[in-house]
Amino acid sequence: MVDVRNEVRKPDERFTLVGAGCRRHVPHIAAPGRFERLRGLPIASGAVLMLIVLACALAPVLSNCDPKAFYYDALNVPPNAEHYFGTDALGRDLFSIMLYGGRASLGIGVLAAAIMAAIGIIYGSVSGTAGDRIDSAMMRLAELLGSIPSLLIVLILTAIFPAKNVFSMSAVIGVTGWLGLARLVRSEVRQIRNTEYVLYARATGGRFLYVMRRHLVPNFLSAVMFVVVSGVSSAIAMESTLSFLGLGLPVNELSWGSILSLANRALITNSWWLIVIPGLFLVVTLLCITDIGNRLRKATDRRCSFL
Amino acid sequence: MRNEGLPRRIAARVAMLVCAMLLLSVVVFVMARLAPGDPLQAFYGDQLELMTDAELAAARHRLGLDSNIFVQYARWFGSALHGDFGLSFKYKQPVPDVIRPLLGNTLLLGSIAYVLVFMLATQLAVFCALNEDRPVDRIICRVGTAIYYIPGFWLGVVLVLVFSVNLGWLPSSGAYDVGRSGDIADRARHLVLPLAVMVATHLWYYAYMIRNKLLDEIRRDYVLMALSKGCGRAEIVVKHCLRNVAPTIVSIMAISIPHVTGGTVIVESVFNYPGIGNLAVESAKYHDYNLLMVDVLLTGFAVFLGSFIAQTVNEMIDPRMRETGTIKW
Amino acid sequence: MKRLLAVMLAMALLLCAGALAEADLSDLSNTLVYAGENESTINPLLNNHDELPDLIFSGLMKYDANGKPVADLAESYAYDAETFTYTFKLRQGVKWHDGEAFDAEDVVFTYRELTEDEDLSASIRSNFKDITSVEAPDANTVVITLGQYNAAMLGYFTIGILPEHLLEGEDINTTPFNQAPVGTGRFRFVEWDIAGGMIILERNEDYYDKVPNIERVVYKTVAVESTKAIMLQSGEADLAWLNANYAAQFEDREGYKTWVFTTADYRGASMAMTSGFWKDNADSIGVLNYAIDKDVIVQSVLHGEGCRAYSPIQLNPLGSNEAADIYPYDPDRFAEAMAELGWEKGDDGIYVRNGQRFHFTIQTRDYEEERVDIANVISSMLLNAGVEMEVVLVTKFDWQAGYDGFLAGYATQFDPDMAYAQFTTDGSSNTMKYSDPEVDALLEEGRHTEGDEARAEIYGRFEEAWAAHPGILLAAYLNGNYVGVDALSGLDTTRVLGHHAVGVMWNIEDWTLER
Repeated sequence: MVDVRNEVRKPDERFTLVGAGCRRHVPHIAAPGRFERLRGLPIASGAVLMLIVLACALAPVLSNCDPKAFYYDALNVPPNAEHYFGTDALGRDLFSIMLYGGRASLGIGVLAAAIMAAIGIIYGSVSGTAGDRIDSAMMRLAELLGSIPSLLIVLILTAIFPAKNVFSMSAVIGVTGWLGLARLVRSEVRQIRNTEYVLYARATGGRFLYVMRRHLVPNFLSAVMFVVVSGVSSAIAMESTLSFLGLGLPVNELSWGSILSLANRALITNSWWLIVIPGLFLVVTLLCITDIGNRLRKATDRRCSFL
Repeated sequence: MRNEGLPRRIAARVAMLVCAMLLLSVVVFVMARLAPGDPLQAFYGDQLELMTDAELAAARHRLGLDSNIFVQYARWFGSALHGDFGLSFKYKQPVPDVIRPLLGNTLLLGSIAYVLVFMLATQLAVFCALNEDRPVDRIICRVGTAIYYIPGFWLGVVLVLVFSVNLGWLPSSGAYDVGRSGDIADRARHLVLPLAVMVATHLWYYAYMIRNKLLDEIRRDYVLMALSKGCGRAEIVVKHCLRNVAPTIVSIMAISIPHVTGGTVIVESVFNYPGIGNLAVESAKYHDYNLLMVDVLLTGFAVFLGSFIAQTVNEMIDPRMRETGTIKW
Repeated sequence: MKRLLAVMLAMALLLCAGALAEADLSDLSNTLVYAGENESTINPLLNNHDELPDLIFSGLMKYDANGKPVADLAESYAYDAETFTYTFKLRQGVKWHDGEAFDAEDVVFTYRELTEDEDLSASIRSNFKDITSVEAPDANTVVITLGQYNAAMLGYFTIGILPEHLLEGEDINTTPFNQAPVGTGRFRFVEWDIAGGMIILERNEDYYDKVPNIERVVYKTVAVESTKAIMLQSGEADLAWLNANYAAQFEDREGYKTWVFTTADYRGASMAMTSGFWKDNADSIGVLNYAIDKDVIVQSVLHGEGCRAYSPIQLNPLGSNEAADIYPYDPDRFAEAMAELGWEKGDDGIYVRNGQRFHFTIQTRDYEEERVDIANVISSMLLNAGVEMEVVLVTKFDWQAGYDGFLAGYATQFDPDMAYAQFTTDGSSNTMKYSDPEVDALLEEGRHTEGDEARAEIYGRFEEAWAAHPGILLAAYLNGNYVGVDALSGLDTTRVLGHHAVGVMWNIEDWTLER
């Protein structure tokens, strides 16, 4: 980010200032302080997210219990010194489950968002650069697909092709989540493609992929990044929702979703830690990701309000 | 021109709607039939494992599952035209008989949630727009985003934990108590928690969209004009800006139908609320194709109808929409 | 815009109001609200495993407290051992819930369906396949002739009788009757309120035996175990069957009572003998028992509500031969036995024999929490011992996918002959293709032998023979925990209940609700 205020303006070297009583005026502008440079960056959310990601990555080091083991002598105990987050009704250690489960959940989030981005960007660019007829046909198709609640599509897909692992789960979520992105990319592309520089590139023989790589993508990147990053969080949320509906990863495949899906089991035993801790983890992660995504979005260039 | 245009446009849209429904039915049909697993499981349950091959073949034949997929679709389509949507494998009765009693419940939940979400979203947006960049606006933005990202099912579970299990104020499940189906107060009690979840998980998404639209709007010149004439701030926003944003809100409302419908699926499962969303999950799990088909088609129909209505309403509000609405297909 | 919204809201309300058909339910003090399972049909021929058909319908015979068949719709019966013929004298003056008179033709109709309707599923028909003819010499007499003696037949005569006047010519599988049943039983079907998720029954004032004290039963179709528990807690239900974990929460709570039934319902990993792995290694199923600490399963998963299992008919009145309990929990013996069988531990700690790792898959239905938990616990215990049991969660059992077995639940609560179909080589419910000549011979003998003592001895021998070559890695028997409100009384735990603790309402006519 280039901030005009922070640029130290120096007089041009080629000119010499002359004249009586001339004093060189050196504007005194302090170099941006450490805090100033960081202002506007999502430090808090970045740090928290980093912490969570690191913790999950280092799960084997950090966890003091085996996530798949049953501790029969500690059934349904609240958080304590040995089981930091408590255990469930079968004596499974929630802390280590959270760490190991986070790998699956975050993995699904990133992978699904990547799939979503790939499909969405390609579909949107093709639709945006193609002729009117193809464009409108493609947009109709997208509209049609968008008319079915995405949850319902995912539901059908997972029921039909049961998601057995992280990859198939991500594929199902990614395949159903690209519509919004495609629409956004298309409208950006349509705006850009009428500009002179794209016209020039085309006229001088630049092929579609070249134009896309050199002109289209860089131009809509910031808007798209925002959607993709929020795609990560919506994919994580979707994974947990599917688990809850009994259509997610198998219960013995650890993920935040599969732990959360046990939350209504914990209701009756009043084991609040089994409900609150995974929920908090999930919500905090989602919020951090969204916050970071928000900073990626171009600051809206609003005039002063009249009100 | 205007008089000729209207019927043609409506005809074109109806044709579009029919095409869309057709395509949707083909897609769902093919996907469902390609799935592994046996729909007979839904029909016979665990007894299926005890049936001989001959019995299985006979059962398949009886349920029309033995021919190839195109023939099956053609047959389904033929009878669907006559209002016969086949038999639900799980419930062993005609599909409409299964869905009809649940439709009312879902419509009630969905439409109240829908209305609430947009009424509150508009009000919240106006409030935020009036207080742009003041602390109260910022707090609302933060809190709103946080609440929006809480997964609906988890919020539901927590609400049940607090209000049903621990406080015992509100029922945890169902649409109404025994023998109280006509009692509005009782239905309302059962709707409080589901609606709370619906509103919480949808409100901010739309409030934020409307807020941003309003913020753009209050930077228009006419606002300055109105202000200089001495109109109050609230008056300007509500009377002028909101009116100008109305077509956008209506469009948002139209495209939000799938979103809200998806929400009812989750809420119905959490609160064990008898409705077609819950039924969709169940029929997908049990490969009850005929049921799933009608369920999805109904949802799709609601969405198309929604956008249809939205377009028409927008044309009524703002005649300029008419031209832009009909340019390209 | 608001007007539009208002119109839409009004439309939705109107749509709902259309569905409001009302039964008079103003006084609910004597109404039992039962949080039950998800139902799709109520028909004794289709749902031989549910509570509702038992309430609405009645059969020629019924089971008493001890699980012995006694006369019900039949006033008395006679058996002619020479010709294998049962002659039933029917009760006089019995009426269907719709007011029509019940007679012998209804019985003949029902048994014809059971023996001749090809569209009915096999599991129920196989019970009746020994029947060669069903005749009604007069309106109050039914003569049923068998092809050979069948010790369990009297028990099978408990199946509910269907009304001929409503079902003649209908397809039993799909008739609307299944959603609006008319029977002769203790309760009368009133309404299936799908929108409210409940089925409403009222007591049959014209019942030929003791008319129930409880006026009305509302059966809520809940199915989700946690929801049932919450409903009980928030006062939305009066009685529910809960798993041990949930039931434990109500133990000391004021206002609730718990009834603990013994059930003949076991859980275990049932091995598919047709799978490649077990074809080679069927000799190594029994030894796995040494590696499983079944008492820990009972204590952890079942919260002590159950007992360790060693025989598939252990809780049957004619079963429970302790000599068949040959596999105590003993890791050392497990290691020895494995060595004897020629297994050696590989580098990864898993046993290997003839180049084959001891790895098998077990499919488990994901919505039954206890099954999943039991499967997971067994799997982790076996893994510690050096055997890999992979648990695959499915919503529906998939018999074509080639899993090496499934987490089974089965109950033999009435006649031990219930095991016949399951364990004889060509038995009709022997899905896992278990086959053992000694077991075949003993079950055949048990079926055709008269007298409890003689049969108990035969079934004892069956248990021993089975234990030597088991087809199921048995884990535990479950208790049936029913939790209800204090006002409810009269549940009788003498009766051993079936699979999923079905049969609790066997004496519902004696239950009372005082509030």
